[in-house]
Amino acid sequence: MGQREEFERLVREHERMISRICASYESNRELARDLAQDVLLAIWRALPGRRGESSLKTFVARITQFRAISHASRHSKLPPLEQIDESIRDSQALPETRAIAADQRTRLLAAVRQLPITYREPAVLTLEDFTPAEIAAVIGITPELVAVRLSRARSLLRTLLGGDSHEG
Amino acid sequence: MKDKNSDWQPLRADWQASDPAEEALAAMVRGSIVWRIWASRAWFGLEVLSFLWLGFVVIAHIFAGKPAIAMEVGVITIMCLAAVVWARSARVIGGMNSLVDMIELTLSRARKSLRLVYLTYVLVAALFVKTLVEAGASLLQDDLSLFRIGWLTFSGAAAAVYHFYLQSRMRRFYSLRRSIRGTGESQ
Repeated sequence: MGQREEFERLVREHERMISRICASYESNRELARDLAQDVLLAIWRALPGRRGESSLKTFVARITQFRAISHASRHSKLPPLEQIDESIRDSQALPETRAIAADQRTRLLAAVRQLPITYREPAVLTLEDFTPAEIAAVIGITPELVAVRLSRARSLLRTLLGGDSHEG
Repeated sequence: MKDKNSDWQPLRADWQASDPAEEALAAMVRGSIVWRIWASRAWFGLEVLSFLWLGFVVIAHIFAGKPAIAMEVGVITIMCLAAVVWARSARVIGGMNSLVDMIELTLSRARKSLRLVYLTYVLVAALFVKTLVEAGASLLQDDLSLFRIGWLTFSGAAAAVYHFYLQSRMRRFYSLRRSIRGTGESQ
């Protein structure tokens, strides 16, 4: 399969995942679109060097995450780890958060955006159906650390979402 | 290892639910990426043409009996060509195995770029002194020397701006590396 065909297939299959990951790092719709374009361009450029050791989905997720965290760090949108408690309190006080309560998906996205990067990465990948082992490979950390972070991320999301219908 | 899928399943359903706004965004991105790819190719074509033109200028000056100018243009061309090749090789970052590897490679490239910036400072300073010494008292009457001084000042300022950008980028990526590795986290 040629590079162009592979790229077109990749865009068809993963564009929604790319959009969702970008949206979890950038709330501004225009900037999220620019970020998604940057991701696709980066994927287009990286495709010839792809060694095929991982699945196409993992390859796409890795580049998307890298671009997204670079983008977020450039725009200082990463809440530091030590400020998460403060962040949760602030979020609960925000009237905007309450105003969008009817929309589960929007609320979830807003909650994910408030997670520190260490928790947001594994959380977003889990929401995209990656297993902890795959997440460990994408990020480059141990599966045990992924499990710890996922547990904390889930706990934080539970708090941010206010213990609603998501609690299974 | 235990995957707490059940704990995440309700969230997954919401996360992956179809959203018209998101689909519109994806369609817009899909439509415009073709233009971005062509623009990227056009830019590459312009780079190639520019270097061919500079190569022609160097050869023309050699045949016109102006080896000194040919050498100056040649050195600047080689420096620009090296910078372009260096920048284009950044695509290898996408081929790395993990996010941490990508950050490490980014930092490694930034450190090398920083060394190139220091080298540029040294070169600019040396050429600056050389131009001043050669021109001597007739500096203000010598158009070529004034042009060189202007060009070197511009090059030095550009290197300083890039230096500032690189330092800021390295700080961000060191911070990201610390966050992702999470050396302080208990397992």
